[in-house]
Amino acid sequence: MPNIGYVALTLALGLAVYAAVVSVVGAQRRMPELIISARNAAFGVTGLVTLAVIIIEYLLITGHYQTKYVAEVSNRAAPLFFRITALWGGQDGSLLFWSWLMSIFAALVLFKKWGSMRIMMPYVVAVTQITLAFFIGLVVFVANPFEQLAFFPADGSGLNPLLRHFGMIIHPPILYIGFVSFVIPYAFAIAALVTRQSGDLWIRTTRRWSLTAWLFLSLGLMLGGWWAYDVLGWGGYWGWDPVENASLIPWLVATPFLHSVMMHENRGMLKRWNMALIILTFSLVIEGTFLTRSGVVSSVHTFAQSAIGPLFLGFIVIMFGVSLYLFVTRWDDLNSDNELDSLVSRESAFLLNNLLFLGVAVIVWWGVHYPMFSEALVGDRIVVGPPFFEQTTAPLWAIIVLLMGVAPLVPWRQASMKRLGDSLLWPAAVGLATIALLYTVVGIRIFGALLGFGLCGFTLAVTLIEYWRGVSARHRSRGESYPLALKRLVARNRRRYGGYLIHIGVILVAIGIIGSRFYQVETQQNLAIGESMTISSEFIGAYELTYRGLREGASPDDRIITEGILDVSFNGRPAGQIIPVREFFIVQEQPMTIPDKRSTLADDLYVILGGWEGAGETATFKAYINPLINWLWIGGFVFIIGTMIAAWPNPQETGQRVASKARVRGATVPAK
Amino acid sequence: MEQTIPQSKPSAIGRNLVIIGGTLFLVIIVAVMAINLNRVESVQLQGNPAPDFTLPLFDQFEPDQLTLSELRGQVVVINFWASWCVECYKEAALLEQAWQEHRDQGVTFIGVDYLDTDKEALAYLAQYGITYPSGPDIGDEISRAFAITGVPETFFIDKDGNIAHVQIGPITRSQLYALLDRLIKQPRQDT
Amino acid sequence: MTRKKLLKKSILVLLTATCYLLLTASLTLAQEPNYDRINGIAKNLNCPTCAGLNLADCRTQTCAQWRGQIGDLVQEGYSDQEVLDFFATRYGEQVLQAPPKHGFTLLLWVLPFIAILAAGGWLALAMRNWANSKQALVTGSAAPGRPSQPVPASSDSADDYLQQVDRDLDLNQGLDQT
Repeated sequence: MPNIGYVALTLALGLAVYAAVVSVVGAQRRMPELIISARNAAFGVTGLVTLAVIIIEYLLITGHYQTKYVAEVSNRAAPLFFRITALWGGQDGSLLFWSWLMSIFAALVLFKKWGSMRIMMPYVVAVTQITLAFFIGLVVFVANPFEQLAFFPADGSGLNPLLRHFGMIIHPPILYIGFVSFVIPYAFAIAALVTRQSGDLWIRTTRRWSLTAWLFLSLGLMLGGWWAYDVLGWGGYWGWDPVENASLIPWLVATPFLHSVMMHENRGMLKRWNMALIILTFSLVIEGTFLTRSGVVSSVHTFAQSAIGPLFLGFIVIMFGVSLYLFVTRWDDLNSDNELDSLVSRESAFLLNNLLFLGVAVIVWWGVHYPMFSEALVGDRIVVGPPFFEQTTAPLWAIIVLLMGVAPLVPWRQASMKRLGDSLLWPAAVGLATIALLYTVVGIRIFGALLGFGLCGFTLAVTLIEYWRGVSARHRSRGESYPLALKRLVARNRRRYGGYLIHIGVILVAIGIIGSRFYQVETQQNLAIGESMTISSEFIGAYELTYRGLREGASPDDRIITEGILDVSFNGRPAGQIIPVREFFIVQEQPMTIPDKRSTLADDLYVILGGWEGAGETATFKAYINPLINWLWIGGFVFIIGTMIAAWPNPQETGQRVASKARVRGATVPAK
Repeated sequence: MEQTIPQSKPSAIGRNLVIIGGTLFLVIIVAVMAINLNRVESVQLQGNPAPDFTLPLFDQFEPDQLTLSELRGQVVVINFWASWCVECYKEAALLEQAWQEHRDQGVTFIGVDYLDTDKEALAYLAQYGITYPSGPDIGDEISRAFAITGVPETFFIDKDGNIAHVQIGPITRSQLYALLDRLIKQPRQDT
Repeated sequence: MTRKKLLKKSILVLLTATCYLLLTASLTLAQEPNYDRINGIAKNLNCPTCAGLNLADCRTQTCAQWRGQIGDLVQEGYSDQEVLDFFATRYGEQVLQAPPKHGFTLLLWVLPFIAILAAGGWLALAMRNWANSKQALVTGSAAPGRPSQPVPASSDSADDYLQQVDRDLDLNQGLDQT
């Protein structure tokens, strides 16, 4: 059975190489039958990799421990759900999973887009299949999940306890979908370069792909943060760990890409820049996965070291080198259609947006790679921790929030400073009023927090006013009721108003981050039964926690669960109990400190059980107050909704595309 | 035929910048990555001369410090350990016993304390009755020189000062004694 | 001894005993570690054996011992910075969360800013050139605001995005023209 899986993968590898080669030959020599053959081969690759995945899942579910991978990530006591999801629990399986996702997307694109873009498709096939061939090749030669052990173990070693949480289970697939789907816009970009396109066809075609990829990437990042907060028990949600950063950096480059394609589509500008951005985004995706899997950086996330590193490095060199070559030789094809009319215009706002996001990306990239440089060049081993990232990126984030408020008010091409000033007046007043209110009534004194909240107020005002203007205009001119006007407004301009909703989401996230970062309070105390500890925040109030004792419970998964019971009283009044947990996984001899929380819109009371003496006569608890943190999750939710709205196809658009397909067909390579 | 602005000088400069910048960047990043991928691990030091070091010793030991090169001509066993290292407990008593039995045969044991706190380290030494020279690795220098990836790791240095064997993890009695016998019998060649 | 004297003596003994007990109690209480102070310092240090966690958050035996050492140093009167310096000397600079801002490590802090400033400056110059060259150029062939493409992929008037453009050009009109 495992051998069938392995053979399927080897065949898939061969087919992928075939598809890539034949596709290019067919395009160069104008032999449509070759292109068709390549396309079918591509479908075949998807089928074969799917077969391999089905087989490995079968092995995982039935507990075939002679298969080395199954023994590494699963064991007898593991419930079915965790057996299935163990597919991405270790290096080999996750590489197979990655390849499978990529093969699905590659096939999906062929399925949907084959009719249009006939010139580019052969090259899209080539790029996707070459990348696929690399990943399948890695699995076949270096990271084979079907490898058999010489003996038949009685049991597996089981999944890492850290991974046995719902959030952790869906975080990798969501993130991988985000990463992998960027191969499609990248493939189209390369195809556009090769076929010397100078328009925005490749962007229009892949616009929704890019947005969806970005959606999944954002969702994956948020899930990672939520899981870290909910389960890991260190009171935070983002540690600036190298692998976390490796998934953030492509996002930081994809975000300006999504913004500046608007400029590309509208005014035919920034063609080269957008090309560079998508090449960079995908290169960073590959580099990110290289960092995670090769062991060059030390992280809680890294897989075990193996021969994978040098192979990845080779692939990155080839991929980046070829992209660079194509980019440079097609330089002249990508001249702008239009000029920059004025320094104060939406175009320059977008350019500034690009500069800021790329600035953050450069900083984070540098912080991640610096230890490597330091060790290679000077022999010093240094760890770059959160203080570096926070201190250096904070001013850029602030300007980004500000820009989010100013840019929607700046028209394309040229802004009249007076008009701009007028439209900024009310939002600026809101921003200043926010600061004044927070300073006087609430008592906020930290400059960074005041500035941050003020900017949030300003930008939120701008965005809400934008909705208001649209809604009231519809109401005035069509007599629609406000709710109906809102619904229609958004439905007709999904990108714009979905985009604004995303901005609102970002503001809410910012509020959550500012509150919890500047005003987090923590305390740790050792309590005897009956003893109390207090934790208080000047803005929230005071919690009193009284230790009642420990409680043991064993779960069927062979872990020992110890609960610490605390009575909570908030500002003098009883407020239930809070029960943090210590889970000790017997087989792996690994403990997990899982917090309990009391969540409100204003704050989280977050408590972990640090340890205990004897049978729990005394125990150590660490308590946090995280003000405003739930706005982070709310904001994330709004952000996702906004992205889905923005990505939803407009009924007008689909009609448009049918018309455009008809026109394109006449102008290109003959139909099959 | 689309209307585009004729190519201007800044555009050509931009292109050259991209070529130079892109290639330079690629070269540098590959070089740095390659260096990091080829990071030496302790096991790979086998056969090479042992890096010299001076280890300050804990108070209970006679000299204040110990320098490896001064022990040339002896068989030296360097054990990296820590009080929080559970695996180290398994071999602690064994190492002390082997030391006692071989100390007059030209063998020296050295204990290097890795990323540890002095209070608990001294308690560990007392618990296992360790009497061979042991001391803290100040600044993590020695551990880095020997490229250890964790504890316990034990390095066997022959009479010529070369690393004869690197043991990752606790060592068994038979392994330890066999190695010592071999190294003791091996004559010195560098004089 | 009279009863009064006995009473006085016993009160004295009791008093002394109480004072003694209070004294030892207060000394032991003083020995109880101030976790919050320790955690505050530990936040600036890295867990030695696990990657990505700081010393305050890590729950391993090693970290517990290290935090204990911070507690000892604090009790000996070390200031926060002195504790950090001690750890950096004792274990190497890789235990610090924030790399020091001197020597080669200065490059860490400085390089990205130089890069961003340089990029910003270049962008400003490029934008100024871009904007100025438009005045000098006598093109007019490309209709302003309309992207011209080799392949007509959209009918311009139907594209809601270009309508947005039109709307934006007349900023004071808030009318939706779909």
